Amino acid sequence: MPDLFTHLVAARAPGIFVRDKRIQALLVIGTFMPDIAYKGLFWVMQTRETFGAATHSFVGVLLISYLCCLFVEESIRKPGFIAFAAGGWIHILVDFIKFNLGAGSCRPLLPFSPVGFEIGWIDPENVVLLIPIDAAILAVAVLLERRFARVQQ
Amino acid sequence: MFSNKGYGWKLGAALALIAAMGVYAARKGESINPPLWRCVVEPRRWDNTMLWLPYARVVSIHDAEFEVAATDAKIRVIGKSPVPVGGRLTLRGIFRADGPRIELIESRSLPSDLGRRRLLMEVVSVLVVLVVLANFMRHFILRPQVLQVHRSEER
Repeated sequence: MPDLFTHLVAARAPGIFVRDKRIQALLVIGTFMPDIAYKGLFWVMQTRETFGAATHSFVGVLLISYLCCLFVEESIRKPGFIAFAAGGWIHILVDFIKFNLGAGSCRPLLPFSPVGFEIGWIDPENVVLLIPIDAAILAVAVLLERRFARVQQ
Repeated sequence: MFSNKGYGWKLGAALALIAAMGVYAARKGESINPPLWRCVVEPRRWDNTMLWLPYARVVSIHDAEFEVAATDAKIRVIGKSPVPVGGRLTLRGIFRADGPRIELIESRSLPSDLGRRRLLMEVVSVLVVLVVLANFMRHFILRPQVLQVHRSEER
């Protein structure tokens, strides 16, 4: 995984188009869910690494999102599910940028295929260099969001 | 699907499906990038398997090969090391049972300040989690007592 700041920014930037702050918060939490589930399974439940691989697949994200949305109030459960799933899928797309020498940064097509996939733009040890870029994108996103809010008022 | 009707069943079904998918992924993914120690212990079983070592240290270098120590085992690698003895690298190659050895396909040296970079990333990640949780609590308040009162009123 790249650092959580990169994941946060990747979800928060499109989040400026979500008006409901609660759904926006779920979108951001949703982008952390694949890692929370993976780390939870690995560190707490002591499962094998391949067991947790499903948390970083498109279908796995849908299942985790459904489980998570059951914990929010009924009135916003459906948009909450969409927000969780969108956040999770953004997480997988961001993970694709890593370069793991072609081994694949995650296996997005599980359970249909165990093939790994990566775009390979940045070495995993260099994701720390993304932090200033992330900070700039986040600042622009928050600025735009405030401007939109003023226009709407 | 999103209502409170049959809530317990929905919760149970979601948990069961996630667990089932995990078991399926573990079985199907067993042959993908197995840990080095498993290959070394059972070389015949993992012959010709593609291996990726995310982190390894070069122990010795010879003419056309070098030896690396990963976290769980040591192995000979056929190819040219990108770093001197003691250097760290990540590599990908094909595991061969005779030896056993790895035929190098691709490798990359790892920076010497890898530990510091990781530490910085961890610190930033923890701060991010704290900020996100604080924001989450602004919009969603967990109040078990209120829920209990609400339940008792319903009865």
